[in-house]
Amino acid sequence: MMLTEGIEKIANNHHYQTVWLLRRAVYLVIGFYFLRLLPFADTFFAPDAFIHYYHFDGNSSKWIVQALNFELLHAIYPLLLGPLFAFLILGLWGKWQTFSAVGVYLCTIILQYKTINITNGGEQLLYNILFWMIFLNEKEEGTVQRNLISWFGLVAVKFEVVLLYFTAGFGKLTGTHWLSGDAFFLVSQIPEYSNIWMAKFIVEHPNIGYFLNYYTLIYQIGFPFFIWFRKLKYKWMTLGVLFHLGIGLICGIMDFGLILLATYFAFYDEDRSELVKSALLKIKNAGYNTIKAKGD
Amino acid sequence: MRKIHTLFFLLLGVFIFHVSMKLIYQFADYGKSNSIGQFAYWYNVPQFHANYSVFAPEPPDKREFFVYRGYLKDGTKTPWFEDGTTLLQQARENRFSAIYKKWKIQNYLGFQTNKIYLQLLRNPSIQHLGNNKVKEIAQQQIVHYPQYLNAARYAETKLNERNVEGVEGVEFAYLIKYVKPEKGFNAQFFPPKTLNDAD
Repeated sequence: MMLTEGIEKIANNHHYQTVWLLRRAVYLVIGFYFLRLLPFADTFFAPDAFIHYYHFDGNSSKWIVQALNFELLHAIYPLLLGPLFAFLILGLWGKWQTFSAVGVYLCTIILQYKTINITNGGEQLLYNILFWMIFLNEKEEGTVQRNLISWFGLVAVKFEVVLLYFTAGFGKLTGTHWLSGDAFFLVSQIPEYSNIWMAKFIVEHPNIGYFLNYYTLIYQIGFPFFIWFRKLKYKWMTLGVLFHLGIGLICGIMDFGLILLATYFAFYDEDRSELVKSALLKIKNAGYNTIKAKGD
Repeated sequence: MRKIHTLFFLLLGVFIFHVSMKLIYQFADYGKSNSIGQFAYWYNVPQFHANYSVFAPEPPDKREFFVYRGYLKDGTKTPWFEDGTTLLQQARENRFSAIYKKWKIQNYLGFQTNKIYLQLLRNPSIQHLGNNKVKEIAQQQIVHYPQYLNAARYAETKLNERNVEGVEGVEFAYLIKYVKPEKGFNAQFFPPKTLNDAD
């Protein structure tokens, strides 16, 4: 009896506002991600790009996912970049949500596999969650079956994010530098992940280095657990905003942080998502009214 | 309601299967694992492949440089050139730009060639020949790898962009400078490539 009630509750508890918010956040990040690559598109995607073609010998989906690795198709990347933006606009506009989600997923994963050697965990998380986002339903109306599929899609997105933090957090416990506290010092001394000011600051203030080392460790280990508790998750996500903006601004790996922050919306409760959504729509309407008034 | 129950358990089964496959792929050494590990590899790669280690188990502890120079027709060599430092400086000026990724591309040219070269040096079937012979064989073999050819092509293109005239060959190297001074400095030089060679 309890099981039946539980299933009914899940099926009738449709997270359409959370899905709406998540989709917009992720699509805006993808838009930003590829827009900044556009001026250098040939550097990353053209047949004579200096990125080595790495081909995974996996299952049959490799023929689609790694399409740009095949010599005959090297030059077709504009045929993916153009439609990607069209699918993103459709998705942001809320039109043909499943169709546009499939388009965004396919274009993103094929383009990213051309540059798989230089992608980070955040970029790999992106195409993983985009697959599950195909099944999400952001419309209020929908059959119980459709909403149940959407609920599972949302759970799969959350699982992927949790897996990233779990792997990153617990993996660090198997090393030595993160436990001894000098990992952040090492990272801060490497120009690829730091800057001159930070390198000097951490040498002069080693305690800050220790603090940031353990902050990273505790945050990543704690995320897979605390994110499931309503009272804790928003506080934990606030720590995450500081963490990822810090990585972006100090280490320079901005796309990693933005992708992770966008995925946080998957963990929002429906009432919180409604608040954010209505605030965003108010801003949108205010802007629209301003433009309209100027037009008059 | 029966339909909903069936759908629920079907989706639950798919989800549990997916989670299991992801966990096995993420944490098992599939190269050495049993048939379940190999099945998890088949299920995940390429579309669900991900490396989520993010500086685990150890953070990076070294600065890497990809350097190159030209061999000129008059028998002289150009100075060594390095693009990474300038690219990083530009990337720092605008954290939202894609210049960091351009840095990563040139860095990977050295990293990947070095990775292959080290594998060739460790080839167990030639270790009995002694260090000098192993190195000679590795140098002969590395020039046929696409990673090496890609790096040589980059060096040639960049020398052209710098308007260096009379280039008839290129040489490149991968340098590693460790943060902790006691770990020192490594330099791996690769055999020069004469331009217009049949690859």
